[in-house]
Amino acid sequence: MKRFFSKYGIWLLAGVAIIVVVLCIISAVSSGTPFLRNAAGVIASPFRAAGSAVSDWVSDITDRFDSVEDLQQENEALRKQVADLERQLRGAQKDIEENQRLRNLLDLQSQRRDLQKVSARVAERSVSNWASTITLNKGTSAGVAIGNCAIDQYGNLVGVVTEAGMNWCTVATILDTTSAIGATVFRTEQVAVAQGRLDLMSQGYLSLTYLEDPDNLISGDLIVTSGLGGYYPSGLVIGAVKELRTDVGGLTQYAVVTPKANVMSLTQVFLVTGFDVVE
Amino acid sequence: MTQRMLTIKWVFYSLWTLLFLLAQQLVLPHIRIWGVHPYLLPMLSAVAASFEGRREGPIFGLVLGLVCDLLFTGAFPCFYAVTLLLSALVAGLAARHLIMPGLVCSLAVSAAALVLTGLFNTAAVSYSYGAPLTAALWLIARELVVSLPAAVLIHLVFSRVHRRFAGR
Repeated sequence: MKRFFSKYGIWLLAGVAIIVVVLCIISAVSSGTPFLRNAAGVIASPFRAAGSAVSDWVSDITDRFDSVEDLQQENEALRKQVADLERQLRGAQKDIEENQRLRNLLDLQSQRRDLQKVSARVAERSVSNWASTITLNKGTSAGVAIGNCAIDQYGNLVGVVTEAGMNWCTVATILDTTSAIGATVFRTEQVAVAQGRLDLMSQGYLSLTYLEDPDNLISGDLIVTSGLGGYYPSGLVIGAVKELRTDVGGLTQYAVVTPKANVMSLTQVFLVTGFDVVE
Repeated sequence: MTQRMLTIKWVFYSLWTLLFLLAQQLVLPHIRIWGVHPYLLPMLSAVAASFEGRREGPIFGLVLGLVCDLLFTGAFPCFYAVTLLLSALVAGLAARHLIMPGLVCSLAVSAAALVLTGLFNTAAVSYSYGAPLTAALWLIARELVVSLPAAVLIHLVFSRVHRRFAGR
């Protein structure tokens, strides 16, 4: 054994090292997903699908053991919420009609926000504690491209596609340190940036930075995507303000935001492959 | 050791590694303690290298790193190839010059590998967006505490494979 590695070990090491260097160069030069990584993702996707199916099945079984009492309380709360929303909807119906009438009078184009969506399942979560990414089972063959948004079934923002292979794609969630999305405070229309932070990521929070008037924020303020620049759709819910903190330097303030999407336990998401820019 | 036995030994190492990789992908992300989950990859490379020496260990680390680079997203291109190779090199040297291969050695090289990988991650996040150093160091510490118990299991499996083929 030792003789074999004494004789060929250095050549093996050199050969693999050359492959590593070539891969590094390809990764650095290519703008999209490198071919080898795409191919590896395609080969691995059936195994990912099988693994996630088993994992989901186990999760489903454990979920069934949730307390019945908790479910009853949640059901009661939801009934109240439905009643409130129905009351609000009745009030809003008149506003919608009035809005439509005034728009017709002024000959204004109605603000549509049609999202073209592709449904996808979570096949894998990031193996590292330093990133918050998920791998999905849809790729370029389904029209998915780098930069597409991922939302959950309630329309809350989950993240943005950072890599796309033929039948898979990787989404950096809004908690990831590389994530930075133009955001608006729904109540005050204050523009800011929703960013992932290393110290908040493991706790399941993100930050809201570059705030013009941080003192005007209150706990529970809804944060939505601004849609500025047309990269992402506007009005997607990111989360709610939890608290205001001062940066380490003591000069700037940022808000800690609780994401509305349950990023840690998602099994299915929708990828927004197209949308109308609302001005 | 004959070429055939050598091949069989590394097939055994690879199959166990594959099993650990599956556990890392499918099970461990769901087990979160202090916001982190156990991270096995650097420990697999380091423990194998502590048993198999300075030549075979780094090659195993490099190949494992390449596979991981193709399957997972790293902090920078070829992140896993670089970190797992270095982990294996450090482990191989430590097992030869500092500590006799065994449980203590496996724990020590696993800790060193996790810290090394953590420092590379720290450098990457600090460079890319200026993450606070204290947050990064705190994450390394938590990852170390949560992951290290798994080194015992990796040690038990890999030492069994090593013993089975030693001197054949």
